[in-house]
Amino acid sequence: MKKSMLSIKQSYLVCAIGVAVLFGLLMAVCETGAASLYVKGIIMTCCIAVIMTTSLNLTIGVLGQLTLGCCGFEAIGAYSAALLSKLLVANGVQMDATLRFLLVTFAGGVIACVFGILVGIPALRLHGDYLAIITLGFGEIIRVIIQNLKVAGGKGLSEGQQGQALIGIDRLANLYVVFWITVVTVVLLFMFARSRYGRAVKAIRDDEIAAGASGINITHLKVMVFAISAFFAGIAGGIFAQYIGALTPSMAGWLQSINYVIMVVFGGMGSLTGSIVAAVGLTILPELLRAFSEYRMLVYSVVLVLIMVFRPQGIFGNWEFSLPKLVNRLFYPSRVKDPGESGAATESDAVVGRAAESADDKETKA
Amino acid sequence: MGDQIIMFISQIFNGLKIGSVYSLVALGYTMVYGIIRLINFAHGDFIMVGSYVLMLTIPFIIACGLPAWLAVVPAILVCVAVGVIVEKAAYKPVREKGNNMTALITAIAMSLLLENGSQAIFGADYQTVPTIIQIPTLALGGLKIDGATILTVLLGLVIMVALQLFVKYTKQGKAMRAVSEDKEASILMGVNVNSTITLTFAIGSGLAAVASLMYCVSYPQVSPMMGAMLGLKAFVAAVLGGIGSIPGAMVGGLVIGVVESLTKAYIGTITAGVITSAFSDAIVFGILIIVLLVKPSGLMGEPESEKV
Amino acid sequence: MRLKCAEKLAALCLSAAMAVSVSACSGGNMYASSNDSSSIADNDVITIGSVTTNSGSAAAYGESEVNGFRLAIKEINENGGIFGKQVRLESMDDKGDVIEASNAFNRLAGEKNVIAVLGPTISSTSGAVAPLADQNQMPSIAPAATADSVETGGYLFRTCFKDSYQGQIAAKYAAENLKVNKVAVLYGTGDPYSSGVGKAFVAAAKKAGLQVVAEENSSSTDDTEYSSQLQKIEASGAEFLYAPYYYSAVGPYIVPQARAVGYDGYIMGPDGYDGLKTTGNKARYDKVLYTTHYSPDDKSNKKVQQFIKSYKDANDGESPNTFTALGYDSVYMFKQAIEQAGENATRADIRNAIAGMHFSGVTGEFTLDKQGSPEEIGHRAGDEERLADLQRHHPTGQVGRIP
Repeated sequence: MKKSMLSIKQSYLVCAIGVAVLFGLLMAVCETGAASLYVKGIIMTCCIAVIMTTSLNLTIGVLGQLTLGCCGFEAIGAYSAALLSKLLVANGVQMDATLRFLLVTFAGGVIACVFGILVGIPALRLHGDYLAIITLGFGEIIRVIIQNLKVAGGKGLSEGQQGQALIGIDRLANLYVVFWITVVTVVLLFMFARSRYGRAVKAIRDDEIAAGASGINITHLKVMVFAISAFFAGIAGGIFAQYIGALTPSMAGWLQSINYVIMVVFGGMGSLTGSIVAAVGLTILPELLRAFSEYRMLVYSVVLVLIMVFRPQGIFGNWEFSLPKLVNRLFYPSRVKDPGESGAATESDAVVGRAAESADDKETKA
Repeated sequence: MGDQIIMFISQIFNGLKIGSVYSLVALGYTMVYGIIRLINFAHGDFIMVGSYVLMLTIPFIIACGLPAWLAVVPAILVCVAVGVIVEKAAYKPVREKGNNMTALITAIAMSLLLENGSQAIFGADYQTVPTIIQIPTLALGGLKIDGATILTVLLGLVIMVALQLFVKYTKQGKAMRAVSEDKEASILMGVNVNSTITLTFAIGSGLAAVASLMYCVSYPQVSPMMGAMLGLKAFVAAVLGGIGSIPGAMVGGLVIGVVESLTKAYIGTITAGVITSAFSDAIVFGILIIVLLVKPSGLMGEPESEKV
Repeated sequence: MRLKCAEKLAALCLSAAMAVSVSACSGGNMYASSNDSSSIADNDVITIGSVTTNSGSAAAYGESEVNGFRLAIKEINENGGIFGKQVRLESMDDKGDVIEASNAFNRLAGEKNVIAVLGPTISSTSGAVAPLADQNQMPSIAPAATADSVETGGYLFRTCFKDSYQGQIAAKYAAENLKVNKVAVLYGTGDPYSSGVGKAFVAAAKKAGLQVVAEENSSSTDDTEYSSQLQKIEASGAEFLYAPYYYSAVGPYIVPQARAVGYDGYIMGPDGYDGLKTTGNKARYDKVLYTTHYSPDDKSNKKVQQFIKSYKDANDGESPNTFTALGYDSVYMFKQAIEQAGENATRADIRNAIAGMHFSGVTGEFTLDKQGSPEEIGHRAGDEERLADLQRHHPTGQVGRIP
């Protein structure tokens, strides 16, 4: 491994400064009025997409299991947060709007997480294609159940109407708060991916049987990753509900989930920074190209096929952008010993992946 | 009481009507999955392509004085071409480079490509397909049986038997089974793996065209998104029957159709209105989940064990 | 250990920054209203924005609406515009997606020269846009968002009548004109439109003394197979089936399947039947009826025939549908409101002119509710008045038959 030119403490500081600068920029555009409601709306959508994509990448990229049901959990989080918020108001609980927002969003995440565990325990006995299909099935079931719940339609709770959109949700999402939730999400996911657990999860991705033989509790870790993904999907859902103010069950459909899968793949499976770039890019790009919006999905699908053919691990692969590394390279260029080490890492990872895949092939054939 | 029984039998036949279409679609799924272990997400969209070809060529065929169902010939040709192109252009390179997950994502991407491509060409609106064949309704006492249902089931059975014979007894069929058993070993035995897989795709896509014919007989409307849900349900059918098993696909399709129909007809009464017919989709996916968890090899599939 | 310390340090710094930012700033507030829009006098042309569904599964509706907008704007411009100023349409696609609709609406609202917005097309996107319209103080007219749950009366209005009203006129028509007794209903629970109209019909039918012998559901309006439910309806002895679905399901699936299982009574539905194409034997569609906002057969209304003629001239002889008519009327509603609000009208003035306006167009004659200032948005009784008015002019609404 390379020696960092900055100490670890300094590295963290550099990251913190990076985030602070980003926040400063956000504040600057918002406070000076340079950002219209439209721009703020797009930033908000970006934040939601970043949370969804990075958390989904934990399952797809880090654990190496394709799920097509992430929007089911997003919907659970969204509906839970919306109904809870309504419940608090209906019971006359007085609290600060931001506090209420944080509380119900967190609760939405927890409820989604519980469902994630309930779904994950049986589903994760399967892997590969079957897991993808079963999560798709769970997502569809969640959608059908929500659309048949009386409390989850119309004005909600006791005034609910089955089959209607859930409306009149208090729109409490504040851009600054959402920004920080996004930052915390990404930091937590990074910490998880680099922790002891994260390394074990990557071992499962690369070779499940070998990992199991090395004493890793596979089921436990898989369910844990699945639950974490579901938790953050629920958080994203909670924010979505309190930003948009009206919910329809179709948000849980698998076609919505595929949108986020596309973002993960574009960004690179296993690269959280790649996910961030892809989530932001693919949210802003259609806005810039509104004139061509009819062909957006057509272009996506062509690019997706091309990526799969020419770069199966996604654009970033599992290379992570790192601010401290960049600083090192800029300020201590002579002392960076191994230029292109990131490329080499990707390459070797791909080799490992291929080996794991051929092992996979053998086991299914047997 | 007699009315109740007639009602029940009618409901079973209602289920067989859509179920027989699921069967035809599931046969295509199972062929491809059996050989290359790839869920061909785009298979439902091959049906969409076939249906559009039918819609466009039927007026022409009729103008030539031929029976309308002969439009299935151009449909088969186009579907086979699309299937083989998809395999050669996308699946093959990915199979060589990527893993299971990238292959599945490619299949999803192909599905999106076909859907959005045809939306760009034909527009998002629904279009009706001209009448293909007039099949009289059979009346047995109080029971009315749709002629198209019987025809679709029979066609499905014929195709099933033909496929079984093909796979069991012809040289090409034996090659397919060899590739599915062990790709590397079959290469050593002199099997041309690539041409075998291409042939599999050609057969699967041709089946999709036949399925689109029977689909359009019963449901005469096409739209770019028509293949998505149909493909999913047929996939559930294939998994239920045991994916990779040809008779399994047939049985799975019919079972899913009947389950759907009986759910819509009776679940409200059985559960006293707690679960209504609106849950039928959820119940189909519920069955999928239970099958996958309890018996992943399906009703008629060979059980697989994991080896290192 | 050192690593832990660094983590803690970084976490502390960030959380401090977070706390400060959250408590101190209001710029992150998404909901502050902006009052800096211009008035008509500031611009040489009058720009009206539109947010419609031009791609995706509901694209057909959005396209029809835009055709209506274009025709009306063309006519207005040919006749000298509004206050001598030409009218321009700035059209945006929302793909039927709530996020896209919100973004597009916010974008239009952010452009100072856009004075009003047409759309959105469908109920789900309209539901998401309704609070945005109030917040941006942007007068908007959704031509065809029929769902009761769309909150109109603030800055968002609609040209069409509500779902519950469609159910009511259908029940009334069944009882009074068709004189049937036993009625059945089939609707898709997953679709707000279908289930909203279906439930309204059940309630109204019971009130009208009709006997509801079967109430069946499907999980979505995209299903292809309805035979199981129709078989039960047939067995229940119903003479009249109310099936609120879109034309795409009714034409090729519901009607033929109903006839195949032996049901030969009436089949009635809401305005979604508009555009229905028959398949196979035409006789199967003889007893199919629907309520609609506009009827091309309306000979008493001169505007209707004029509208059909000019639409056909502009579109190679193609006939307009309900959505085109609603879109067309929506533009004229804005014209009337702007003219009433005066040459210096701002967005707020236009909104006030729309509230309570009396309008006569190709979809009939009606009065919108008189809602006061945006502070009183909580009270939205308005649509009832619209309903009463419609009943006065079309005692049974308009009932169309399949051509």
